[in-house]
Amino acid sequence: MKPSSPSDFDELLGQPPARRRAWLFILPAILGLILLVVGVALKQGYFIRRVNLNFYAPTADGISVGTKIKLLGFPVGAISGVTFVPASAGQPRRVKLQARVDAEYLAHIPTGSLARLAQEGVIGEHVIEIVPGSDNARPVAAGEAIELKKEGGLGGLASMVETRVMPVVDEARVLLGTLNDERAGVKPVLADVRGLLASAGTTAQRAENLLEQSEAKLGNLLGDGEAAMKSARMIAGATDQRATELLDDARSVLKNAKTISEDGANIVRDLKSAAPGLLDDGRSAAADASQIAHGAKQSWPFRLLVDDAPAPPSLGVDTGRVLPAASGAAK
Amino acid sequence: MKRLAIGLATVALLAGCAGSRTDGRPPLAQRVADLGKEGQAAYFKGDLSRARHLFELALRDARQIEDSEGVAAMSINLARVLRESGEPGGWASALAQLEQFPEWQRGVIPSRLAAEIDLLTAVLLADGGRADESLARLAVLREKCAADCGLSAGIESLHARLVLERGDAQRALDLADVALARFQAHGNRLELANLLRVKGEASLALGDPATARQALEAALATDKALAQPAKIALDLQALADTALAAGDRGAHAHYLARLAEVRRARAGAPPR
Repeated sequence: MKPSSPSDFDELLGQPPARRRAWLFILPAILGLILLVVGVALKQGYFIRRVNLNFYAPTADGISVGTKIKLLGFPVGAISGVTFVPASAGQPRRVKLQARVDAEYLAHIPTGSLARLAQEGVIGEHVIEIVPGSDNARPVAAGEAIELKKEGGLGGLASMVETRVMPVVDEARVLLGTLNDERAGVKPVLADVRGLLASAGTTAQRAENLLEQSEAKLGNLLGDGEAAMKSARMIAGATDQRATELLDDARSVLKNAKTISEDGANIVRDLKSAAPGLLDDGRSAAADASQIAHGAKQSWPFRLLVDDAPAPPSLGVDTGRVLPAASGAAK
Repeated sequence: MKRLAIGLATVALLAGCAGSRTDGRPPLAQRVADLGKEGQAAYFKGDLSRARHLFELALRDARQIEDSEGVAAMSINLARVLRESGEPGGWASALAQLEQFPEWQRGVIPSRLAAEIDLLTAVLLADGGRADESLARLAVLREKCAADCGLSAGIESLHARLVLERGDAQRALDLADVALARFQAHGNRLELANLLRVKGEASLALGDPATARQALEAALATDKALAQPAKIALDLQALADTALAAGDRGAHAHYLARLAEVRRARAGAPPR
């Protein structure tokens, strides 16, 4: 029998007409939603094969479940668990960090690689950066462990300045105060000695010459007081009791001078050894400061508002000669 | 069914909210990155004129947004393209390009990029025959890179090259040997090939064609592995010279034929 009206079709399909029309809209919508969910899941990496990798760190400061793991700047995984490891034979207390890492990147992490806890800018998130070891080593296998070293952020820098730099500055301040103090410093002592020597005769005059030389040495704080003392003792053997007393005073002066010069030398040495570190730290601080905006951009909620593209890498440098122009290098 | 549809829609919305934003970067920053990548692709395909055009566009955009890293990287890339373009005075154009990089931006770019600018400047000075200036820059750079900034193989390679170009073949050979021993395991392969080429040329100058040929063949193998046509041509030219010095006319002709083929291919001509 041939259907003669739309209602006949509805009856043939066994559906009430309004309900059938509704399905025409609902079914595509459901299919679209399913595709959307699958797409989002793909984007989120739910279908990426991940394997376990462990890190051992001295503390869990700055690390939590979800902390990102990066390899050469690429996010390759995240921390999935943080557990305390009690001290055992030969090993101190440590923290074990379980991580889920994209399996495809394992081939690029040789055994012997290290990890470091870094911060994306001063106020950015903490991330664990894997520093690959030698390319000749075999790649790490799933479940293997990597040692994690920590780097100080802004707090660490401030602590380092306080513990390493401030003592040097304090010591320098005390030394300068001593040298400049007109009452208790070196200059008045030398002046007293010179006054006493004025009445000590020819031998004393030689001792005065000696002291003048010593004073000159004191001027640059690095003189050799011991040599002067040796000469002074030889002179003392041939002079009277007065001169001996004077030379004892001179000896104490020279001893003080030697102590001060040693202090000065030590401080100079400390400053010299600390200077490169301080400069490096200064550069780091400057770099951090210049990256504050970058770090902020990486952190929620700013990253939702601004997100910049990574800088394109350079081609590097080739130091070899180039083909002469006659060879037609360019197309 | 209605409940299912609402549930799916809710899940989709929540998943979307949970996802981090991966696009929507500032257009110019994105454009710098894209142009840089396209330029690199063109460079590695040997299309230097297109690479130059793309790097110029990227550099202009990076300058507009004061993207210091982008400006540094694109300046380096553009300088390399200008240097390798084969145009007369290419080194001078490249040097001028690098000198345009603002001094104030050096403090905010990664030290590796700054070192690359310094090294490339030294290379360009060497290309222009200004060996003294190049050596002076190299000495400063070597101090900066005392703890190996990743460019040490390049620094030593340029040093050996400059010494060779000054005529001290024995010292150039010694420098190349020391550097090869130091960087053989983990050095930049392009620079290892450069060092091998210097070693070959120095050996040839010292009258030792056998060692020269061995080093140049090793350089050629590396350059072929890296697919560097310009370097392959240099290696073949040096090998032809070495064969001639050794009195091996057959090998000389063989290398010259291979060199001609590479040159024709580079110029876009069909093979014979």
